[in-house]
Amino acid sequence: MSKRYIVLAIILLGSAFGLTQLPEKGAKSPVTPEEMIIKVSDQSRYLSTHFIAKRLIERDPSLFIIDVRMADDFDAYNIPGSFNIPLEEIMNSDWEAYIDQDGMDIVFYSTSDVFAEQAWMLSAQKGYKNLYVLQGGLNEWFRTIIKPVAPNETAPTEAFDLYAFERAACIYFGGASAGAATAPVAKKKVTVRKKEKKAAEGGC
Amino acid sequence: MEELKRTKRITIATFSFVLLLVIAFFTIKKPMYEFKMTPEDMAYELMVVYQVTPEEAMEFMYDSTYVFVDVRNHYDYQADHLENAYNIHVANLLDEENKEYFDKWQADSLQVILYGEDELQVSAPWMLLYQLGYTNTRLLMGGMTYIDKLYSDGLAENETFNVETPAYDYAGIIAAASSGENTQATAQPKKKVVVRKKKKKAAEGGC
Repeated sequence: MSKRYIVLAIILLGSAFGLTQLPEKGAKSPVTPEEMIIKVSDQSRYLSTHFIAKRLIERDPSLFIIDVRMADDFDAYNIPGSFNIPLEEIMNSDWEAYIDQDGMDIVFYSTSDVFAEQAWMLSAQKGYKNLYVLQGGLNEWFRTIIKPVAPNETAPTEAFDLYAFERAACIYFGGASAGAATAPVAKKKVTVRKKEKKAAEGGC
Repeated sequence: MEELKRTKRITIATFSFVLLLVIAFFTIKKPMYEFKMTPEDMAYELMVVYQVTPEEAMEFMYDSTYVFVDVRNHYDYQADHLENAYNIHVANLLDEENKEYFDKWQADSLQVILYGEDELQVSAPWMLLYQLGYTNTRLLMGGMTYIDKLYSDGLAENETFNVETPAYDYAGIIAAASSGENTQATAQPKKKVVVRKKKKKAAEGGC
């Protein structure tokens, strides 16, 4: 009888050992690679500098901007209201509470947008929500907001409206003196209508 | 008698357990792709330079140990692409038939260079492949935009394939603005347009 128990115990132990020898599963991620490629293909994560400037001017409390450049670069200049987490530290657990905020829109930016995109990619894999990238980064920020370029005289009205916004944003963000030359105002076409000559009144 | 029954039950339970394990082992569905690298590990890997400069890419183009993969859409690829480059659009990167390519290139120890319109387009796909274990992949800096410029109109002054280079002296511009230097042209006062009313001329003629 006891011999049978020993055999059964050996079978169970053998099974348990077999389970320990199963191949190790890959790095666990709340997002699968297939889900990630869908996210990567979706371009809606890119936000324009105009959109961000508008939200900053309106003091949108749901906006949290993260500068992923090095601390020295951040100290030299940063977008007002932004927070610095260098790319190499972005996955430190200390910063998790800053990036993983359900109620906030997290916008990454760097000098251009490649490092910001990498920060987005790493954070998106952790399953964090509402992550965005500032398209063009600081270079685009300066090109459009701090040093906006006036549109051509023949440009459509929308371009002039946008330029008017850029000029106002430029003053707001402290680049007023560095901005472009004064805005050429779209020339209004003045139509001069010739008055019809009235027939001389009176007369013989 | 009671002992014999108990032994029987234990034996049946043990064999059922083993049988379940065997069934589970053979019916387990393995996902096609699994991350081999955590985001934390990848953040560390990013510190090492994996990019290929456009100049290097030109050298590698005729080297049989390198494979170029264009991740743009088919239309852009048809319009202009690097010689001998494969076209695998970002959205189809993880398709089964493309997995075969990536597996084969890795097995053959070939270096795969991903490129797109610019570095931004290819940065995330490259990271994804790298984390899936295709550590033989690298990305082309600058992308086709830079290469086109390089071989057609030429580059603008200070233009570089490294897009993460500041195009402005950020701090200097803001400092100059706050100190009032480089002030913009003052707005010209509007010309006052005086509209003179025409005097009504006395009716000409008359009796």
